[in-house]
Amino acid sequence: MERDDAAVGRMEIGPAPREFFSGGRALLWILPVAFVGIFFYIPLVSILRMGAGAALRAGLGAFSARTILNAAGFTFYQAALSTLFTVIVGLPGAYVFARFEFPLKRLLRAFLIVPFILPTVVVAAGFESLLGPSGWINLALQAAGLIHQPIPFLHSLGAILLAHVFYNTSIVLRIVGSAWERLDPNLPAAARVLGASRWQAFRRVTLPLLVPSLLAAAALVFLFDFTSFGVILILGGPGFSTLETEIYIQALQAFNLPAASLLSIIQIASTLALVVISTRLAQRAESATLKVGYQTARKPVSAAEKLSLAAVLCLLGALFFMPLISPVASSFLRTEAARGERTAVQTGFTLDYYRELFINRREAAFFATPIESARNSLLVAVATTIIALGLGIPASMLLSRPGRLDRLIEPFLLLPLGTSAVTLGLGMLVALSRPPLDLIRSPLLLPVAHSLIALPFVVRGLKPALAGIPARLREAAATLGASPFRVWQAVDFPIASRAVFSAAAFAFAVSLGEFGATTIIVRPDFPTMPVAIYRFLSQPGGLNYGQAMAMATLLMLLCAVAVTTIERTRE
Amino acid sequence: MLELRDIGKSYEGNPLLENVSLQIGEGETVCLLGPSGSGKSTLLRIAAGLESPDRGEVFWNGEPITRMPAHLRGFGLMFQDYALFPHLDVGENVAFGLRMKKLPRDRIHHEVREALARVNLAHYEHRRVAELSGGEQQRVALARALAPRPGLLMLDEPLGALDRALREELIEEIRRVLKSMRTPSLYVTHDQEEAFAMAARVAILHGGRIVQMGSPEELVTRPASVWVAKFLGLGNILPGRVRSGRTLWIETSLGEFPADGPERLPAIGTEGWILLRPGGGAFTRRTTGAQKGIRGVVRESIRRKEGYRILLVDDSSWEIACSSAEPFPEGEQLVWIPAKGTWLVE
Repeated sequence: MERDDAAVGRMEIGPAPREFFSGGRALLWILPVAFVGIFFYIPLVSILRMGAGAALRAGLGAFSARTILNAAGFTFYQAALSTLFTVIVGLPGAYVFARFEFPLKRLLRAFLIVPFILPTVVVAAGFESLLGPSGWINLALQAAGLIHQPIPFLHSLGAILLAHVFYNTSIVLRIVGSAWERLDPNLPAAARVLGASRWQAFRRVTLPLLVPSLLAAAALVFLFDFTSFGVILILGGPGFSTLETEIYIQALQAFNLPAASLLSIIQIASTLALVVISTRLAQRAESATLKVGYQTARKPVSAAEKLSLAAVLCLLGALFFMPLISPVASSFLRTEAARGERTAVQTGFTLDYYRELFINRREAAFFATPIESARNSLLVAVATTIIALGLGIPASMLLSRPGRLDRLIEPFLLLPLGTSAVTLGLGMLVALSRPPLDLIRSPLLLPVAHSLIALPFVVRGLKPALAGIPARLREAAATLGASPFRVWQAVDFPIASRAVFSAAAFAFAVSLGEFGATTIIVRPDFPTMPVAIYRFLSQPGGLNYGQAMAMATLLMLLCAVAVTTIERTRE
Repeated sequence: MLELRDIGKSYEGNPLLENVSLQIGEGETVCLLGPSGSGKSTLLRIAAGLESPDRGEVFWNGEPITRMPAHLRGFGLMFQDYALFPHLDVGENVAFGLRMKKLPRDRIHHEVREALARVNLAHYEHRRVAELSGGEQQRVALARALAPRPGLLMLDEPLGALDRALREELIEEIRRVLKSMRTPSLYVTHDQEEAFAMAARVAILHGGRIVQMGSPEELVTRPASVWVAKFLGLGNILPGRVRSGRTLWIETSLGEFPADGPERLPAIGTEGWILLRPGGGAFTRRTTGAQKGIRGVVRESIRRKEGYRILLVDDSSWEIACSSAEPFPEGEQLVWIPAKGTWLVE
């Protein structure tokens, strides 16, 4: 008796949620698309109109083409230099992680991502506390009697480069390190047997095979350095201007919105180009033929290996630990100048700065106690998470098994990823401060802005998690008699819920640390923690300095909690 | 001439190789045969200079080279997974060793062409490695290893990833090439057929030691231990006791059988093992009477390339494998009279 093939076809094997949502697919898109449309594309168009109009009418006021060229030129210059140094620092680290097994390796590897997730203001505070006039290095040098005046490490190109290297080395470590790990060790071994010295084997065999991943990592690092804002603003100071900082200055200090818009257009175009380039390079790196499944890492054997491992780990440790520990340490150390003294004086452990956060000393600077900015940050972060998930989950579900409509919408949704945060904020400032969309005073604008920034990450994180559920699992459930809904409940949901939790923690962390867009649209009476830290850092005096460090420590703590939640749920 | 003397190596406290000694003379191919993980590849890497032994020395033409780095030894190594450089084309791969020797360009072109012709891959210079089939890649790896005319060639399970037909074809090819170049070689494999086809002398590695070394003929006719006989799949191995002293008769639970033994025959009553090979025996259906054979029921007749393998199960559920030109029906009662066996110890 023949099998009833029609009956088999009727059995609902296959993408269950699609059937589940079949009627409402288009409906589900309405909310995310409207959200991105109103809060991203309308502002974007406004910027384009204002900037293009200004360029055509040459109505830029005191602003000149020369400023634009200088800003753009310096942006490229510092990004290129930063990328170069990042790669130089990252390569030995990538080698060490790829080739050797050592104690605490996994912990260290997880730890090295921390700078990447830290808010820029915290990084800035960290380097301020390390390299500033009251920073640890200057204090140590003065205490040792080697200098009498603090050395101005900050407000220099060097400080910017150092902070960028700190920030982005983990990218090189990850991308190049994983490629190196998958590189068949028999290849350089074959070269050595054929007569190549160790160096020749590296140069002729290993390095050419690492080039795709090197390029991919370098492109990504360049992109981040190009759009860097907080580091340039705080550690570079008034003497340095990139496109990002110039947008900020023109918008908030020179009140020259047309000029800011023009700069934004240039910024958007450049960033878009860089995103396309780096994505291409990343795809090339993925498809490069490297052996997979080799367990190549082993314990260091010779004295030379042990020594080089120790040296690299020490250097990385110094680079990564110090900027993280020093603000924490500074927050507990009194650095106020005694009356009449020119330089700061240490007088030991104190909790005063933390106490100060709860006191509102001057009515003018803050309309609330500094600690309330922590409350504000948390509220905004919670709101951001709700919005980002509320839009991101349906979007990811639809995109995990996309139809034609979904494929068209996807790039539309992800475009905010390629736009810098400052531009995002500027767009809102331009477009949303007039009726009918006079939302600039609304307290919801901050979470909205943060959600725009977090949304692409949420979607990117959830989509593979949902798509990666093998059809076989669903088919198996279906053949065992589960209806499409039950399949979703039993198979998709447990796997997806982990990814959702991780995405939520990510959105939360992004919101906590967001600085670029926030500085532009924030209301003076509703500061967030990064804004508060920036204000403290830009004002003189030991009290402000100490409070900046205390608040930075708090922010670091909150972010650490969010990050460990992410890593925990990754398992 | 290569000599490995008392090589010892441990990995994280576990001994991998112990007191391994080996010599390879001019034009000789020696095979290192052993199960996976027995340290064969490690021994090769020590000989190549990619690893250092914990104990023992490596000599080349009498000179100690144990500490000499790999790139100065002038040896060739063919890897199990070919290890062809994916970013270079075939010609550049083969030329690599010649470039390291800093030979002039036209000389390199010439040698590369010759090397590829030797392995029947003429005109393959500009092909990309990824486009080649498994057999072609293997031959490029061979050409690359031999192009710089090494003093010694080492081959690490080079045919492991290929299918049977290709393997047999390549065994022939490698043998031909090695013979024509008279390069001494050390061939490492876990496949016994490969070992016997390639080498005049085979060393069997077990537990980090060489348990027997000899020609394929010696290994098959006089395996040194039960383990070697089992590893080589020589036949049925039954525990037994020496019954007669003048000519060797072994008493087993399945009957008494004559056996070849060492020069000095073991004493009566000695416990040991007897190897009964599947081939050379006879079958009879006369299952009654005093037959000096194994009586049993046919479980299965398995078709081989030549003849059949008969699985016979006797009353005590021993399964015996015998070779036959003709198959027997399942369930048939049969007596198998084996050829003379071999006495084994351990």
